[in-house]
Amino acid sequence: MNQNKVSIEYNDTVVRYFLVITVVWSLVGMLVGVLVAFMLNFWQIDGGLYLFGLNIPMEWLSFGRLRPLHTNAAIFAFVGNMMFAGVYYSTQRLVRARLASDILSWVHFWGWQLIIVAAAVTLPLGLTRGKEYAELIWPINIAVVLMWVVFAVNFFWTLLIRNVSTLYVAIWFYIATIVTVAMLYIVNHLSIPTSFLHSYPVFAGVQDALVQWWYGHNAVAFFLTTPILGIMYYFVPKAVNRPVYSYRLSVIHFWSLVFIYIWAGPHHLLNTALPQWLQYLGMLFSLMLWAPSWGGMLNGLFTMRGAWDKLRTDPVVKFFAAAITFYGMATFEGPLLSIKSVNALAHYSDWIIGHVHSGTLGWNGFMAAGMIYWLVPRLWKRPLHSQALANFHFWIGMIGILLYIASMWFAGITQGVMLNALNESGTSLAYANFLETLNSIRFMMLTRAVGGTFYFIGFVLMTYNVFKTIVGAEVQKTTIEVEAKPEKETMPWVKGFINAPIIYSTLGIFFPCLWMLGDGFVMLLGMFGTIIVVLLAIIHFKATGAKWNDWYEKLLANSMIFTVLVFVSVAIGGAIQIIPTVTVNKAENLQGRIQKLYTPLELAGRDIYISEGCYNCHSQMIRTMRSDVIRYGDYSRLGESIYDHPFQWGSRRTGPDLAREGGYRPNDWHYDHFMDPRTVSPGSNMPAYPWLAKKKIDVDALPSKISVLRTLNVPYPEWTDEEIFDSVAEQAEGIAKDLQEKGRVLQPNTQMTALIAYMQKLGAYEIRGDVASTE
Amino acid sequence: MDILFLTIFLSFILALLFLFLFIRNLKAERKSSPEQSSLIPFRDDEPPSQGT
Repeated sequence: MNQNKVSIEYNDTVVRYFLVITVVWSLVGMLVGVLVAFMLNFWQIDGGLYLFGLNIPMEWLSFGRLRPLHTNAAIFAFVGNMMFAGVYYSTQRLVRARLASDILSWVHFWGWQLIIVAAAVTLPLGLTRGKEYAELIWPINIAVVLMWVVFAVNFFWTLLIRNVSTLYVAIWFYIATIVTVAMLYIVNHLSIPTSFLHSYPVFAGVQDALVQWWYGHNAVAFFLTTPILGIMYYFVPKAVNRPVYSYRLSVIHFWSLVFIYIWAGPHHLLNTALPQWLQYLGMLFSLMLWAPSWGGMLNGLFTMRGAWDKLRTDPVVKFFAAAITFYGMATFEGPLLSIKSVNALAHYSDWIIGHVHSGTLGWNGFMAAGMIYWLVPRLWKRPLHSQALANFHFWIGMIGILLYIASMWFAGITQGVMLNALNESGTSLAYANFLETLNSIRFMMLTRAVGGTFYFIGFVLMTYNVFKTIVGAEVQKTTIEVEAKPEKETMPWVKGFINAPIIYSTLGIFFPCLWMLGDGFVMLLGMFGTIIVVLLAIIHFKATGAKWNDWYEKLLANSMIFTVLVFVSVAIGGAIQIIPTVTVNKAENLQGRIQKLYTPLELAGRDIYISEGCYNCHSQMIRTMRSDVIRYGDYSRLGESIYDHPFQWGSRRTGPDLAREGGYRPNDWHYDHFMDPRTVSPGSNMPAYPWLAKKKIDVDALPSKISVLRTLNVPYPEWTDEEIFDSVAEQAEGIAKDLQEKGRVLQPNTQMTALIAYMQKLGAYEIRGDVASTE
Repeated sequence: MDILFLTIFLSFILALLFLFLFIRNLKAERKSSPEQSSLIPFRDDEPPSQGT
């Protein structure tokens, strides 16, 4: 052996484990997805089995509880494990070093699987935080953070012991993923426990909404997009045996994407009570996001230049080409949906579901399939069992996606148009009955379920193909000889931050901010400053562009400085949006409509509402649109949910909005509706909740819950435990008595009583201060 | 008129900054190119695969 060379054996065993478990979880996540899709069409399998003469309620089998299981399994189990497999495989090869720690690698693998199993058990049991993609309860949240830290330490440690000086573009995307997901996850999961299984988020109402969608949108960005882009930049060139189309474009793609993405979260809250400046900022940055997204897409597609013939023969290239195309489609559709007027039609409709699945099935799923078909023969050193089967997987998957997204476009636009349609005078709704709009898209919903089934079958075939390939294979170690650790050019920290590109970028953000947000002199300063900075940067770059590249190369050799710069880039957007909202939009600063506090019974009912996942189908936010106001009542004000930990504005209206449900219907209607929705709403697809009439309210938990809410500045009085219990008993008996007078029998200590109490409180507010200034 | 003076002043500062960075960059040496970096994934010495 050459004296300057060292022998490296890659840790591919953990990659194999992550790959196999990816295949397993893909089936679980997709199967639950198919199941919940059929539930929306057939209430007979939602919340129990009510077909073939059966009448078996099963609370764990309801849409509200299983939809979070589907999303969590698809995101964290399927894509998460696929990401870890891809990151660990490519990183070792790109930095020519074995993963730094075998122990950390295995802790990471088994810890992550344990988290997934814990999620699969707790979510069907109704243990949830009630925030989308952030449903897992607080002990699991802590485990997720710990495992992410293990992943981060293992990854950065590997970078530190690398045997190359520079970092390839894929690594940048992995770095952005690790630091940003940590930031998003921790902030959005800040909670105070009320028990071992329950907690309240520290943010409420509009603050919680903003933080949630800052997280939710960027979970898509930094969990489902940036790591997969890193995987694209490694595996696509390998699959087509060509370098990436433009490495310079990848530099622009990376920095613009990570900077812009983080600002776009408020587009999930357009036309709501969110302050206007945030809505416009969200819309603006979403539109800007189109450019870097398509830069990345074109870079991926053009990498296949000269290799298009492989599309005919190689399923890997088929999957990659289709996945990148779907990425382009989804990232065109996203900015389109973020335009306020388009969003008025699409929000709360199936169009959004179609958009999301164009990304997850098309981009994530197909990238995963391509990567798996490429990796399996290499990791097990065996040819793929059947190329034909892989090709069939591609086509059945493709048909499945097209059926899915096309039906969701039709469904979303149809229902959106119907819900917003007014008669000629503009004073009443053209389709006043919500169920009429729902039932008009039944066929499209069924087509979606069929499309999802096709897609699922494709992954079943892949599982068989992978199994047949690897069973009985003798695993061989991959060992390479590399140059001993080269001298890395170190860069002082100061030079990392004080440099022309950084200064121009900083000023290029600072001056436009003055221009947008300032007035008078400040606005002029912002405008002139922006123009001057842009001109200077262009001239300077044209004159010395190649030298900037040297600085960037040095930066890449100093991964810690690079990581800090990435963190600063992604933190700016969130800080500018969240800090003012958290400090200004607080209950004590508000005038006008302020939410009335829930009584202890209503609070218990609210926790049941969250536990059953009602927010998956019902919003509590009447938008500032004529059709919303005519249908549901006066538009929702910011103060009307200011004490809601967590907020319940929702993201999809499979059922109607409930923001002003309180007092709209009598108690017996709600009782009948929960026992069997179709008795009072013919044609409804809502599941029945008969178990709520039997299960007891957890009254003992209320003092602790109220105490935590008091800590979170919800102005509850200093009630004793007895006062809380008495209040619950008194209000519950009132509801039970009212029901009895209407001929319904319900024990006062049951969960249904609490839920009815909550329903009747929705929309209750009091007026504080000068109303005229806020209305 | 104040804004004119301010604009000229700020432009002057930025121009100086530009000049400083420009001269500094001229003195720096060029070390590598992006085209080189794009070949990193092909640098591994793994045995040829028998797969797809």
